[in-house]
Amino acid sequence: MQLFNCPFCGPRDETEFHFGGEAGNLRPDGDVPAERWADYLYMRHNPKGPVREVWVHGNCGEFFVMERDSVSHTVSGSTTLGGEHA
Amino acid sequence: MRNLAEKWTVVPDWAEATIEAPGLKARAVIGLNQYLVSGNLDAWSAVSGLPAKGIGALGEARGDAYAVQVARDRLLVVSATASGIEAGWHADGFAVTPVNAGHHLFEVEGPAQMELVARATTLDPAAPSASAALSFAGANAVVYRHGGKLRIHVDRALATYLWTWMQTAAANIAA
Amino acid sequence: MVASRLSSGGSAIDRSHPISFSFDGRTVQGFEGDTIASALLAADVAVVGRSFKYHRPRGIWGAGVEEPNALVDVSGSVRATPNTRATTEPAREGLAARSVNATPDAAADRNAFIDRFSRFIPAAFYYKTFMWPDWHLFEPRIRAMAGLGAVDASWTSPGAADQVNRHCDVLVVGAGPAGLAAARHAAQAGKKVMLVDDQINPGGSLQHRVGEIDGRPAAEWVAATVAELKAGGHLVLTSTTAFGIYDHHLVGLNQRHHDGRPDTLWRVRPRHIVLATGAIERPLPFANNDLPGIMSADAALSYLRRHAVLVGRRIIVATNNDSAYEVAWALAAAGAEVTLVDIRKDGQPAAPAGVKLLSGRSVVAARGKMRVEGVLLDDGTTLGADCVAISGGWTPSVHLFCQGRGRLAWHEARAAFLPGDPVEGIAVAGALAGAVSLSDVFDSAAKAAGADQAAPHSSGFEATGGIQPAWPMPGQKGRVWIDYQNDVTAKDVELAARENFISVEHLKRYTTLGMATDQGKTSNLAGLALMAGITGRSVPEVGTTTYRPPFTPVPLASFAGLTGGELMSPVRRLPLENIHRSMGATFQEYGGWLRPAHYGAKGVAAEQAIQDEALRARRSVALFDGSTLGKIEVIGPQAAEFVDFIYYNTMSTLKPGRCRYGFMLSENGVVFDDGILVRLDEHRFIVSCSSSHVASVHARLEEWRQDRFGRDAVYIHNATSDWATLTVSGPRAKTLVTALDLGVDLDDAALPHMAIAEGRFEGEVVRVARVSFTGDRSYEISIRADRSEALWTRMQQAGKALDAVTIGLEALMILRAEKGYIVIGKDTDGTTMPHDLGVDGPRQKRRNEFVGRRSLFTEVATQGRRQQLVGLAMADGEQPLPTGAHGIVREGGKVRSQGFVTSSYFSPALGRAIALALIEDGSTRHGETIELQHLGMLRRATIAAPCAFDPSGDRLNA
Repeated sequence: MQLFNCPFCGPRDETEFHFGGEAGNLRPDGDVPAERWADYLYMRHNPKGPVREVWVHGNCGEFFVMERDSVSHTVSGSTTLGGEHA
Repeated sequence: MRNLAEKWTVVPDWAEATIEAPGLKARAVIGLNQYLVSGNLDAWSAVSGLPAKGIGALGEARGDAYAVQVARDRLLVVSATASGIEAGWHADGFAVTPVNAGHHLFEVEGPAQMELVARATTLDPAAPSASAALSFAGANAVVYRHGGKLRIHVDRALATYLWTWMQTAAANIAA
Repeated sequence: MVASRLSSGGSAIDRSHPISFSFDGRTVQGFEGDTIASALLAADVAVVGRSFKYHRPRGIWGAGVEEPNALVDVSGSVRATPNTRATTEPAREGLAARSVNATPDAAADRNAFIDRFSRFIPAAFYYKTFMWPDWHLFEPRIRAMAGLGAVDASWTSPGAADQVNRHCDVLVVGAGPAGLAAARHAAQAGKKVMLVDDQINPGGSLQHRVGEIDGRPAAEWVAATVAELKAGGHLVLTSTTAFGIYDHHLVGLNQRHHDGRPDTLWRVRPRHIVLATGAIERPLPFANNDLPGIMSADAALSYLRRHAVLVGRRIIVATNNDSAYEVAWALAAAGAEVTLVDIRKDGQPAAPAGVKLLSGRSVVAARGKMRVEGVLLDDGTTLGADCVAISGGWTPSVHLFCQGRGRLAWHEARAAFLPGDPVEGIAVAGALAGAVSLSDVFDSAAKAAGADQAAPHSSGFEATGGIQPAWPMPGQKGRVWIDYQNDVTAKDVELAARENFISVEHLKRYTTLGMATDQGKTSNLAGLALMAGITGRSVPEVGTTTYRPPFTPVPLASFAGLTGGELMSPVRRLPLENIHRSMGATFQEYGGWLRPAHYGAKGVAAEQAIQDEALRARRSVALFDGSTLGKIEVIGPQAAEFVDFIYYNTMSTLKPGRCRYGFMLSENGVVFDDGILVRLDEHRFIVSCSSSHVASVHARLEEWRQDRFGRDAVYIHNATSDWATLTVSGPRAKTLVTALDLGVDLDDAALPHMAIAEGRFEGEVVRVARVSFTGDRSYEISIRADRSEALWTRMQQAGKALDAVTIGLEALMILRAEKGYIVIGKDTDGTTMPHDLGVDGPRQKRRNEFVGRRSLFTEVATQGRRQQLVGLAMADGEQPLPTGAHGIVREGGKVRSQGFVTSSYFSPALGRAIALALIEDGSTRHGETIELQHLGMLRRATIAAPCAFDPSGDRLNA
């Protein structure tokens, strides 16, 4: 069981968290081309190694960006969507 | 059609129900006022007279009225008497929603209460956590201490589940 | 008699407490402190099982968890458990042990003949044989012969296993000399220590190897160290296996109790881990090295010292390293005739007293039928023996180190994989780290604990790390066993190489070497070293397979813990559940809640009761518990903009005190939830989402709040469980609600349909919302959940005079279906967009952004052939259509689906069957008759509007 850092609550077991997708996949507003919208809906980079992901700590509801390594599972940092660090 | 009520333990009479095991006693606490407040907690603090920062996980709450931190900008306020603070939006920048009935409160006392905590949550009791919201027996709960006893707030709809869980865990602790 | 119990000695047994148990039906005597294996050896039981494939007789190999042969099913006075290791299972009064894979028993197995056909069933035979004409013909027989032990059908659960979470500064795994010393160092440095060992008693190898520590016998030092740790408040657990290291150094422990309780699972998060897991002795490779009586040299010493069992009279000790020398010396001192055969020509220790040493010689074959009778050496000599104790070297138990992401380094001179580069947070000590002598062990323990105090002064039987590798060789003569439990020989490894399964992972799976319950603890290294020899690679080039938890088998009950029965997947309870029970409700589980399906008198069939409720609901007034509806408050300065973005429909125009029905879409345009939005005031809304979607809607609202609008714009409070919602519906609803005297102006001008007002009931605030899911005039009255009983009781009383009926969810489902009101996920699927449900206004008219907007204008969303919500009308007297029946189109000789039935009931109000369906282009095909197919039956129905009853909606205000 992994240990993640909620930027507010601190280290908690992974079962308190929920994956929220790749970070940086910003929503394009307006009448964007279909390809751009499809990218937003479905395309992900899914790199091997360092990743930036959106997670939510289910108990306090905080959404944040977690930097971790998808291979070694090392967690390097957690930042709220508003910018506050763990 | 099979009656699935047969599968599930009957909801106890919370006024009477207790769990007793060596070093452990649990019961429900009925009748306290509770509300959620989010937003500009300094502004709320000025109105309520309570500190803007709430108790964290397994932290010590005192007195008849206190606030428990459940998120970065949200408190669960518990008090013996009604707060007099209106529900809804306050122009000072905070929002209030009563949860008097929505949060069910359990209290556990006795020297073995930390044994219960060790079974219910993976949180390190020695490491402070700013928010008292955590997974307790798999359910989202708010857990802190008051007067030497453990207080656990859980969604009313899951109260019977948590009660059955605590009965089973208490039996394991006693063994 | 070959093996025997000595009349004195045995540090683990208590001769004042004799016990007896049975093995394969015969009585065996022993003492408290014996394992099943030690008592069997003392009774000179040579054959304890039959090998997996060839049913060869097998004896006890070792004294610990690495045991490959002596598996027994236990029952009788202990809880029935299959496939336990006789070497670690305590002997108990009244225990009944049965050998595995043998009929009728190990001594007289009737399948022993199979061994004569061994060359037809080498490794992986099942990939090539027993295929034609149909492998299904052979599979049941092969399956019946596979497996080892048997499950006891009368087994009952001992109860929910305890699971405990724990944090500490240092977790030390292994309470042998290295672990005890490391734990002591850490405790003295002020750390909070936890020490675990999988054996019943602490001490590890010190329980049977001589040693003097700080001037006193090793056993005394062990006891004193354990006492010191316990006195310091540190936790010392025995019979506790650290079975795995998981992410971020979570360590799983399984603690056995010896009093009938289920095992306890511990989840430990230590700051630092010290692994002192020791090493496991491996066999030597020679022909017929699996005969009963051939065993681990270290085990022979353990049985002698711990259990006072002398394993033979004429014993050959064969070795390639120093550790067997103490064994030979001790066996000779106990009265056996001992010959020590060392493959090394020089560099080894002097012959121990009373032992005949043959240097530079090796065993090439063992002879015997049901037990070993002698050996053949490489120089052609034969020696008689009734026991052969062998040591092919020691394999450090690196499992946990590797699970913690440690890498191994091959040490040619040691013929061992040792932990390589250090892993942060994990230190290694003792034999695991390559220490050989006791003083090496203590030095490594001090280093692992980061201690600067002196290690205890120690002395033991002199041993160096000198070893001459004795791997199985390509082309070796005879049947040389590598994996005892899965019956894998050197020839099987050669076969794998011939078939090009040369990677170590393929070798494992092709031959099944290392895949048995012992996970190759005594065999993996020999197998991969042989593969290296065959393929001209070095041992590290072949490498090891991936180490995975658990180290030894862990009962599933330990992982389950309390999660079982009604604690498995808890259902949510209504505030008024006990009242519904007392009213005779039949409950079902809906969307995670336990709710009344119907009430109904005793003896009345469910279907009839439901029809009755639905009929009466439209005649007078129905009372219904709708407390599960979501009530998520959205409060703040930008609440109106927020709900405009969240919903498909424009919501900011909603006036305070009014309600509006709307859809929430996902970003792909699919309808995710439907429900009512209530506006209480300028800055406060209540999202009344479906009961089963409350958590997910709450999460979505928080996400948009934090990821788009900003935390200060709006606040989300889930108040669902705070309110009970009791619904009054039907032509007499207004009369009933008036009688409740809620202080609300119920005049339709003051409270029209889709409006909300606040009142009081016995001093409590109530919200009265005119919202309808039945299509009749309907009032949803919400009150604090813990004050709802009085309101419900008053409703029931007021209803008596009005012929009110209390209805359950099943009747409600019929009522809403009569009106064409959808249930998300039942009348919609993962492709259904709002315009498929006939709600196209917002898509056409809205200009501002909302969730899913762009998806509504893609090619897929705007082209034809979309499945749209329709009603299906049938002739009177027809049975309801099966839900899920497909509307079919016959095109050019083929049949394809054009949609399916989503909801189907008999409507008591209409006196005929009704249905809702998703049908291709259905909204433009009203009046068309279509065919529907289900399980080979054909039906016909006519496409119609979804609303079958009261299409004008007059009853909402009736």
